[in-house]
Amino acid sequence: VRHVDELLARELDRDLSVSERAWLDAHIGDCERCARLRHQLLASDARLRERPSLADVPPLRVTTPAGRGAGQRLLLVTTLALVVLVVAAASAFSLRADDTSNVGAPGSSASATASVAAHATPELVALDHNQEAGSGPIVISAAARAVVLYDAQGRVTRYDLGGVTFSDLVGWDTARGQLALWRTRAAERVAPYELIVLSLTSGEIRTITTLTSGHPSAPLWSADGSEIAYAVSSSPFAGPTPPQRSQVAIVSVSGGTAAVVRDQKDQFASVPVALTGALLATYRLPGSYETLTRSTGKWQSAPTDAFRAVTWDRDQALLGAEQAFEASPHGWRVWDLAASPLASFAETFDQALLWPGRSEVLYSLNGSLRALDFRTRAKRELGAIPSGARLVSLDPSGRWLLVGVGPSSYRLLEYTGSAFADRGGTGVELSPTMEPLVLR
Amino acid sequence: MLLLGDQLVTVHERVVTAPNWEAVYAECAPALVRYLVRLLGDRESADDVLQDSFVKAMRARVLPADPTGVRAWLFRIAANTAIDVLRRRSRGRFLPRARQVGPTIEASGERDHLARALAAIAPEHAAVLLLRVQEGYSCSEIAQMRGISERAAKARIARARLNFAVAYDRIERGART
Repeated sequence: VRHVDELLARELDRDLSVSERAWLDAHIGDCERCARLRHQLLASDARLRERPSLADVPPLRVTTPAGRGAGQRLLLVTTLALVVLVVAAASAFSLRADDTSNVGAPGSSASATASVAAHATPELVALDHNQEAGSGPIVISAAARAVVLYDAQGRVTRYDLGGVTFSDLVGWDTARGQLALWRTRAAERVAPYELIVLSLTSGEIRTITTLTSGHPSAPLWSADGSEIAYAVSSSPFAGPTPPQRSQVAIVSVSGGTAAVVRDQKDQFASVPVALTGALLATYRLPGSYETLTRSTGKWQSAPTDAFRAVTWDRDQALLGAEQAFEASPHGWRVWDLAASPLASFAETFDQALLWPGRSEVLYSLNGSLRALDFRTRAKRELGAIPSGARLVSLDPSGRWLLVGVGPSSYRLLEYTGSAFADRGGTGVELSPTMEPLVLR
Repeated sequence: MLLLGDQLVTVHERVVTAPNWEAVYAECAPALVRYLVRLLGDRESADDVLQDSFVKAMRARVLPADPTGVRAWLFRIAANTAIDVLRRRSRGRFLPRARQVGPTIEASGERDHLARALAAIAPEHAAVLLLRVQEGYSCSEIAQMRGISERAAKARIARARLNFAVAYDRIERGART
């Protein structure tokens, strides 16, 4: 941020000294760019001050916990203190590099068969959004208790999970029709968390490993579907400060002990983004791509921009990433697993996906679908998408594209060789908090 | 010392009376949901986070010293919860960054650009920017809510203003071309 930009932004809070103010006023008179930025900032504030009009607020769905009624003795907060943060965080989590017990061992690999009403070639899979209304003293929203499969004929198959999901972060193994997620049997969604694998063809649910403390990341499947990598953090991943401790672990789906391959202190957690038999790749905020050569145990790090998401196309062994908007330029980068850059674009877009089987990035902009070849830099138009639609996923063949329309409806588009053709909606309303996936 | 949301707090053991949560909800929920709709981009997520925030508040073993501070405390919990949601959305694979906006909340055009620009900046920046400009909290209050110094809060808000203005301008220009 340029110093003068910062002054302009601080000016809106009347946070300038007399001398700063005088200098800025004089500067604005001579600088067209800063005069324009000042106008933009003032206009932005005016837009944000205009509050959205809302429909009625829903009633309070939670009920007062037992023993917490009016008049109960409660403690009183007084101040925030950094020193307390350090002391308390030290007791909150206690992982050691040579101790995998906290990450969890497979233990007895419990198997259970979920109720499967019908089998069909999977076309669209979604996590159901089941609120546990009225099931206890406190209602917990957004706890998924089932995976629901919608096939091309509109049939619905429900897989009960035997617990609730820790979060909506799901690892998809699209090639083999299975998914991995963290489940808890506790109604309040607290540890222990079980890493389970659900087969969408057999309905079988297997517990792979159990985590007794910490906060797990989304499971990441290896390219061959034989292993899962995940991170565990002492505090929620989205916290404003780095966790006191975080680990990265790999576990075999067929059994065995989870192996801790990285143990970090006071850094934002490294989240697995690609896993093969030879290499594990992770990404860590605020911008570091790190790879582990599994045969040697050596880590290598390459600085990157602050991406908001990293995806991996298993066939092409490529990583695609989208930069945060505030970074410059706004766009994405594509690189291989060894961190060698393949392409970098400063292309404005709404959403983007790596296109399986092709050297193209599929993206949307202002209601149209476009593709950009990251090897040749050729661009092409692929037709319109419904107004407000967002790209959700492409199936492994790259033929079917799922787009979200509105808060909870989805449509399937088929690639015809030169454009995408709309093949209809799902006919179901799905929770927008859970992203479905095309598996066909 | 107790964990409260993402922040650690010191505690003085004093006896206070738990608030009437229904009354607190009636008073604070409209402003909270208005804030969350802008921050999260859709009404359904906002309603979910609102409920989760009250769950956290009612479970909390500590309360603000000043009863009038309950509203700011709830904003702090809601902001933390919403930031969790936003960052979760953006991890692991490409997820919709330009979040869908309910038709009853934001119309198309300028308001759509506003929603997309907010979605385009860092969640923490969007959270403090809305607290400052839309909800009118002071930099000092925001510093307390976010567990940072007032100076850091001012810097963060200034950065958020700049990023939002640039993002909005870019989106608006993109729409024209």
